[in-house]
Amino acid sequence: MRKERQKWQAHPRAGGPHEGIAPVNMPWEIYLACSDGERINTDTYEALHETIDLDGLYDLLEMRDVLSSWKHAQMFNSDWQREHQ
Amino acid sequence: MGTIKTHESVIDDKTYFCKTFPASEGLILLPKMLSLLGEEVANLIFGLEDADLDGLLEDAKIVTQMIIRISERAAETDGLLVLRDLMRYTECDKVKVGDAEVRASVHERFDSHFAGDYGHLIRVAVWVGRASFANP
Repeated sequence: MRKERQKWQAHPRAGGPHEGIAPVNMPWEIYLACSDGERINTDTYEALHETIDLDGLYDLLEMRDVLSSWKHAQMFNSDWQREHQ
Repeated sequence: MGTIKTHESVIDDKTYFCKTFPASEGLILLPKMLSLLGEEVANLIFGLEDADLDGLLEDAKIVTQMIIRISERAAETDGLLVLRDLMRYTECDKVKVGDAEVRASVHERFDSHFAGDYGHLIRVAVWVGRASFANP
């Protein structure tokens, strides 16, 4: 077992009083792996049922988190550069 | 790798083949497995190196204790049928079909294949579980 479980992205309903619906027919991990926040990637969804195992799913989620962290770092760095120019 | 692979192992003179579960099915089965095993047995199964675990599983007393522990928890969970679900993609080269022994699905002949041989069932289940879930 991986010693440290993936820290999943925050539930989008947790940030305020407004709530969307949560997926009920599938685990959250499947939803997160297939969604880029705007669209659902049906190829990934199909692969998670046919060719990708649990290890691969956790890799996908880790890659999403890494990419997300880079985007946030880039955004914060832009703010930092403006403040220090 | 993260993609579905086939594993092979000889257990009690029978050769077993199993595929790792697709992520969608593994996510559903893994919590049931952990619930059935309990933390203590789960740590034993997933936390040890192959050689150490093989040594443990040769000890009849330990296997018996595992069967007792799992049986106790089976009453509170989905029961031992989880073990059959675990073997959905498992085949054995010596499954009895009529008078012959052939390579066939263990899942489809779960009851007759493991009848009266729960020690063997535990050894196979541990191997399949580790092959399917040891990396995540």
